[in-house]
Amino acid sequence: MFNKVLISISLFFNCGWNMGFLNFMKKKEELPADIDLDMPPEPPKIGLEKDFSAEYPIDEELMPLKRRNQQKKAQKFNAKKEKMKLPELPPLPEVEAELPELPPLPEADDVSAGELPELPPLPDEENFEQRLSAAPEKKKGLFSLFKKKQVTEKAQVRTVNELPLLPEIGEESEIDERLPELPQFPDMEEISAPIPITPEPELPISRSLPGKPSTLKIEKPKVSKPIVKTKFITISEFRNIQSIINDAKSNLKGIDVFFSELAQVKSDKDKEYTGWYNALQDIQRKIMFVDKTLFEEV
Amino acid sequence: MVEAQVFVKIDNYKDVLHTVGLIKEKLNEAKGVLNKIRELKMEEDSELEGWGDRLSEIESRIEGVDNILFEPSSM
Repeated sequence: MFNKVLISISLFFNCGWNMGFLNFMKKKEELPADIDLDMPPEPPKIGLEKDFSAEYPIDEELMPLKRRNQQKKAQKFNAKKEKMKLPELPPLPEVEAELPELPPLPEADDVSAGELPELPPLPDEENFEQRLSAAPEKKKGLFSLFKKKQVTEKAQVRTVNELPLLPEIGEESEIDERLPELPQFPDMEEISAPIPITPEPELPISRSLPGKPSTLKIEKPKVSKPIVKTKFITISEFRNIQSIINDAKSNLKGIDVFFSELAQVKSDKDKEYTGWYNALQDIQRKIMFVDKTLFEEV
Repeated sequence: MVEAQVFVKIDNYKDVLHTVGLIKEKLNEAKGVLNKIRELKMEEDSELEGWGDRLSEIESRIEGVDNILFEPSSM
């Protein structure tokens, strides 16, 4: 090892380029400003991890299949999302013009004194002072100075006195007569069910009676779905049908053999018929010959 | 012991019914063809029987001729 190092150093000093090795210590000559040098290509961006990682290569084809599929799915999803955007609702028709005028408010003179609720009675101040004096006082210790002051009953009562008591509410029947009926809530299914996109559905407007609040009911357009009824049979019936079909299949399996045999029989029969025909013709000829020989000579 | 009933769902019930109807039509057609073949076969058998009778008649007559020719009574 040491010998190798010595040899390499000796070679290093013997050769002419050994001094060139130390040229990096020299002052570099400045290039003239007129020379136009080619600009090297921009180095790739190394700042991001995604630039060179296996999951995010520069070229899309080098991207792993899983990642590419994910990108495609995302693109498809975005395209679907754009398609699924609901169209803008048409402007509602102006209903204000057709609405009935509100009934005039009753004047203050008409209201009789008997209908107004009575004012609540003022609390007795004497009783209140007595109650305050009757309340046991707590012993004040050294640390009571730093404690948060408790809200005294007096202060509470004062705040209560400032507010008038609520008027008595009449019976339920009276309230029902006065208040208009609230519109019914639509069914939750109608709200949760996706509304199919139809070309500009007409919004039926239910005209309200005078004295009742106007309600706009948006009726859900009915979509006729094909009714698919599923049929069921018992397992015994199913097995029975299966056995029948299997028997029929096994019976019909021999139909090819039967027809081939039938065709063979038919061809044999045709041959026999032709032979019989030839034999009869031969008999006929011979009878004619006998007839000629016997009766022509006579 | 009461056994629980098990049901089998038939998906294409209408298709099955239509196919069963077609099978029934074809079976009726095959029955008709078979009856026609039977009729033809009966006609063939009757014709063959008739020809058998005629041949036996011819045979008997030829035998008579043969007897007349080879055994002359006037000699």
